[in-house]
Amino acid sequence: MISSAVSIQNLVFKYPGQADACLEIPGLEVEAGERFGLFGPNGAGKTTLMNCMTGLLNYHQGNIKLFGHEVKTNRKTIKKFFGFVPQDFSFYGELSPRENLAFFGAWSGMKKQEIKKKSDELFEILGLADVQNKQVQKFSGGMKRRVNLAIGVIHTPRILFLDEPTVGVDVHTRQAIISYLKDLNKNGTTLIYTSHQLSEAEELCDRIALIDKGKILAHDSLHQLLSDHREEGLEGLFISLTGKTYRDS
Amino acid sequence: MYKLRATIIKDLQVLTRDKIGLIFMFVMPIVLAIVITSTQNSTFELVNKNKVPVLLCNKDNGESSKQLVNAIEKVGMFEVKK
Repeated sequence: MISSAVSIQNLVFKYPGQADACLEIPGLEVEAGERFGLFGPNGAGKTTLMNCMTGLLNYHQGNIKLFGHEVKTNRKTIKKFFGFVPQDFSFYGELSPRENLAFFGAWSGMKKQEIKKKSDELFEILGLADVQNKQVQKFSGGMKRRVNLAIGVIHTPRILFLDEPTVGVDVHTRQAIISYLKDLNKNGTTLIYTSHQLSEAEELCDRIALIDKGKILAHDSLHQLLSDHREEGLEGLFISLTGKTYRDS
Repeated sequence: MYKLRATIIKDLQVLTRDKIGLIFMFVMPIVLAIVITSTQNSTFELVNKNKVPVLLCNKDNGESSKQLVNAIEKVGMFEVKK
């Protein structure tokens, strides 16, 4: 019985032409059914780590396993059970939400009837039912985010990677997304989440990891981290661990 | 096969909704062909209408010299004056 959704050991990643590794993680485990948050300043390595976990980037040393399958050597297998909601919009703006889901659903190996049923369900939950046949490029930022999320979950993944899914959205959309993610998690989907919104760590995550300069500075439940570092809030903890200087300058 | 079909449908949908893309794909090559052929046609006309005058003095009455004169006349670029 595999209880780890993600298992990382001795991971080292460097971009081509770089002398120093931009990601070094000796070990990290995310349990199945967990809501795990990756938090850190801009340029800390959150997206790079997520891209390594989803097989978009090839790591140089160590290993990453998703439900016991090594990411590097089992790309086809892991594709079936993970979903990815990237920071940048990953849909076709000329198409409607329904057409986008039909395309991405087909590429996930779903049948036509399955796609239709799941699309109807997602449009209802994410408030896209009225605009399901309109071109996505004419949508507001919040609606585009919801379409992006719908594409990531169309095939009902066992593990869902979300790279800042609430960036640039209003309170209503943020709440709708958070609430939907909680429901997904209740149904057994493991969530790996990155965000700059520190309040979302308290709202959504069972455990968090603070990452900076490609290294995990601390990881535990928020309550435990605050208690260990004698801080009252996540913002204070974040500043005390990462400092006050810009990271991406 | 199902993925291929989905990709073809998606690409056709994207293409038919991109009006500027459609113009570049179908109208631009036609315009380009018309412009290039008309430019080339006027160049041919210019070359064909303006012949280079050549004064030819043949003091050899042999067969070879006659063949040479005929060949020069056949080129079409020269206005041969004997």
